[in-house]
Amino acid sequence: MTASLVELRDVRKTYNGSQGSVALDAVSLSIPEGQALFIMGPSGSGKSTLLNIVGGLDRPSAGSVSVEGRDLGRMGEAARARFRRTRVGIVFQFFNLLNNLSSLDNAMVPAQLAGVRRGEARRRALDLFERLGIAELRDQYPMRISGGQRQRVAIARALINSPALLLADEPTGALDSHGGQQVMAIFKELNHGGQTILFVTHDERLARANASRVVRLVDGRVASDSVETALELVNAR
Amino acid sequence: MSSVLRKMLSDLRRRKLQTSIVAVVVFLSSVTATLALTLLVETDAPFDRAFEQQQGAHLFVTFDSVQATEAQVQATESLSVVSASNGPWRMMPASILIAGGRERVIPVAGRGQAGGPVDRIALDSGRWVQGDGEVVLSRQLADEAGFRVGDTMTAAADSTLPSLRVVGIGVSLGNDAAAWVEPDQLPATSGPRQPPAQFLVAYRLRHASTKGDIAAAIDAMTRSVPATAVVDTSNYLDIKLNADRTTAVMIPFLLAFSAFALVASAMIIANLVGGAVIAGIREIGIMKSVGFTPAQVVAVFAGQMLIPAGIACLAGLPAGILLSQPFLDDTAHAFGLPRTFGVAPGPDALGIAVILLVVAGATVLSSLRAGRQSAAGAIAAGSSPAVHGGSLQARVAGRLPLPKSLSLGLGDSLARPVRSAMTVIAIVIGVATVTFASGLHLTLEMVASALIRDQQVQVQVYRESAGKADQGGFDDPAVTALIARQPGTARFVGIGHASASVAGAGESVPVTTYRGDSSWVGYVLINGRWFNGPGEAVAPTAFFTRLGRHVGDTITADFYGTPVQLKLVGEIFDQQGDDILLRTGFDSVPGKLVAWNYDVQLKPGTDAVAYASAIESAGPGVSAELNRERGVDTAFLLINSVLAGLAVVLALIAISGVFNTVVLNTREKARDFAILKSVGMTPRQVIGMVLASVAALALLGAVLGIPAGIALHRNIVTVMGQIATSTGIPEVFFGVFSDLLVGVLGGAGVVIAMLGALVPATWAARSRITDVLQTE
Repeated sequence: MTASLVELRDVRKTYNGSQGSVALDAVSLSIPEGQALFIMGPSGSGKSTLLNIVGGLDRPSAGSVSVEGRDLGRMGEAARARFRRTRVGIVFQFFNLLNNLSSLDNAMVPAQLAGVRRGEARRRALDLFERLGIAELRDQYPMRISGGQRQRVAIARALINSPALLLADEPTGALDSHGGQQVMAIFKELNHGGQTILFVTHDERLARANASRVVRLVDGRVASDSVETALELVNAR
Repeated sequence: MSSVLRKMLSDLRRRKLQTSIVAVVVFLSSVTATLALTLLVETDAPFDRAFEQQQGAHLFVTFDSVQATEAQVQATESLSVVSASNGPWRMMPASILIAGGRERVIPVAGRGQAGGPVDRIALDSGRWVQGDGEVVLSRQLADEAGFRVGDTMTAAADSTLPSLRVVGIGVSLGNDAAAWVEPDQLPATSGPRQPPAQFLVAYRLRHASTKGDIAAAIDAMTRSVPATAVVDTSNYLDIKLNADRTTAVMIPFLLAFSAFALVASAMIIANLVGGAVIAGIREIGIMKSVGFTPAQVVAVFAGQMLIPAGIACLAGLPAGILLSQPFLDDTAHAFGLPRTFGVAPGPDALGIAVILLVVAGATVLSSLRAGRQSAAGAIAAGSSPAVHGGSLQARVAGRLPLPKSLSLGLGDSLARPVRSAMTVIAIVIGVATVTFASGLHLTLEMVASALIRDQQVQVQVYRESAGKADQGGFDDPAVTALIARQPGTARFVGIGHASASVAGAGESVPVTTYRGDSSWVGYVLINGRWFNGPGEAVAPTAFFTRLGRHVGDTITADFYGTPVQLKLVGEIFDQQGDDILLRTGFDSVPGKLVAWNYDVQLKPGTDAVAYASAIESAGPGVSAELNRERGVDTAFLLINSVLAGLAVVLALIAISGVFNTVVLNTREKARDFAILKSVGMTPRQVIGMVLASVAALALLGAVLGIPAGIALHRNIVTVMGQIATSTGIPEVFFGVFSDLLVGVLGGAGVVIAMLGALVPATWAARSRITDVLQTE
């Protein structure tokens, strides 16, 4: 049996206090290593909240979340920052690159924050740029390259410290179809190489093409969770 | 309620941080402006105002009670030159004990009430005497002898007065009486070996604007009483001259501080308001898209700024006035004037108006600039960061061998050049102020030490009678022998006094003469050297200036008909009399000179008080004064306290300037911080990045501010010296900025910046990633 990389137990997330709006309610999930899990659901269903909690960007109001056996709820702010920097890589819908840094420098930031020497960080980033087909963009600034190229830079940044878990929040949402396909091809290749990936999307077609497992959220609760569903989706393609 | 007003009030409620920052910065600015302007106005002619309030006397005359009867003295009050008078009050000397068990003789006047038509005494503390056994002391005596209300002023063994309880401390605009008691408290006759009682009268004169008017009045009074009955006079012109000099010394640096404060405030406010409007540019686009006209947009933003700014000014005005009162108290104290509550309504209101004008101007200019954009353009500009590439500075910083968070911060420091420039100016002003204040403080300490000369001369011995040994007095050889046989004497020099006519001096020049080697007595040289032989002399700057002479020139001094050539070999820092004087050796002056006082240097470890007591125990004809007890002019203390206060306020303004900039920067870069935190930047690294972004500005501010402060120090000290006593300043007095001090001052710039940046840096570190990134 494949070891579980991520464990969520009865996770609840409310905003504006315990009586406020409920974003997640009693969510329990186990994500094994190497899986490409798609979280799907309509707007406001809690998809992004779930990703934020797994990525250590936010804390659950109740329940527990652990990644590689480490309970994120018990970590302080600095420890969670170190966790984000080394154990997870996050790819956002709107890329979230720093516009005053070159593409290569953007990709190097997590490594340098982790104390990796500039030379080593640069070597890692250049390797990733080669793999992702954007080597010629290394000196370009984010605002001067296309959306698909920016997202590949963001993926390079997410992978720079070889994270155990890659999180992708609507990674093709801001791209045209060609750019989206290129980016998803990269994710697919990464997953085939053993990278665990948690996607958040509301795009059925994307999930059908790439999922090994699909979890559907409705009003903050898990409505369905099945590999079969994912396979059906794949087979139906 | 109009939509403009509703929107304005709603934004005020919503933008609490921005509103608070506007209020705090404008409050500090208005406090500083009010403080500086109040001090500036209130220290202008304080003597004149106090003189009017107290119906000060133009002239005090002391009459000998043996030679003139009380009726004769009273008759002087009806002379045509007199417009009003108070007195006569009987006055006699009393011996009291002061610190160290030493005796001091003070003039005590019998006066039943503090008020009257002339010379109303202002009580600093306590009350006026109401019966026997009570005394009110002059503030000067209270300060010098350390008396407070409730203390007992202990009479010496041979005193004509008993020990008295101090019930009040008062200020008269004349130094003729050191203490006041009920008239009945004074005995009918003076004690043995003491001068007879006197009558003191305070006069207002019909004409008193010139020394000639005063001299004419004294002449009229002298003629109306027996020939030698007038024993002493003092007039308001001399006291006023002293107060005006101190005032004049204050004005240059108060002006500098006021200008600093207003410029710094204007910079910070313009920066703050401009930044706030730029931060709200998206809002401007939305407002325009729903139908607000450009004028309405400007009105909304102007209201958002002017309402908190107006409230802050209303709070800052009284706060500034209250804060200025301790300084005004010190000012009054320094001038020997009564304390008053000083307000300068006109200038203060003008200062507040200027601040509000800066707020309104900066708001309107920034809003108009934003208002010119189309609605869609404004929304787009406000939604996405304006940065489209990396700056050279960011690229250079990125290659520095620093932790990534620090290199990112350094790279950001000039991201907003205008804002960074204004921040640097605020830091420069803060650092320059602290530099100037530290330098002036140290220079004043050196000046005080040079004037007191207590490092070189610890005790001054005076001969008090004409040297008739059979009358209990001491002659020169006797005092010389007395000093020589004291075991604590290291060396001493006898000092005699003469006067000479010098062409161009315009008056008789006092000549202080030294017997023997006097090179050690401690006058600091501005140019040249101390005299070391006959025919040589030194003089203060004012002497050279008045005569148009220079060091090396030879002058002819006429000593009672005997011309003597004196070569001016040195210009010294000297602050005695009107500074038109010469110092030379006994052997340069014709005729037989005797010493009347003696500068004594003690052997290390000698107790100066015991030494002085030993000298005085020889008899009543010789007295000793400790140089350290001469203290410094209270004006020095005043300048120091004002300096410290204004430096603190300006440093606070600089800190708030940095705070404001960092708040604006961190708000604008909230997205970048969220991104960096999402990829693993720890809170500590966020704080480090923010602090690094201002550290470069702080260092630049220090690099510019320290030389600016040093230059300001040199110029202001020079101006103060010229205004105060027309003296040059010895170069050594400028050399107060040691490498260590410069390092500390550089550190002060960094500390100012760090203090200003720390709170917003912490806010940035604590911001929630998801709140920022999900609002994209």
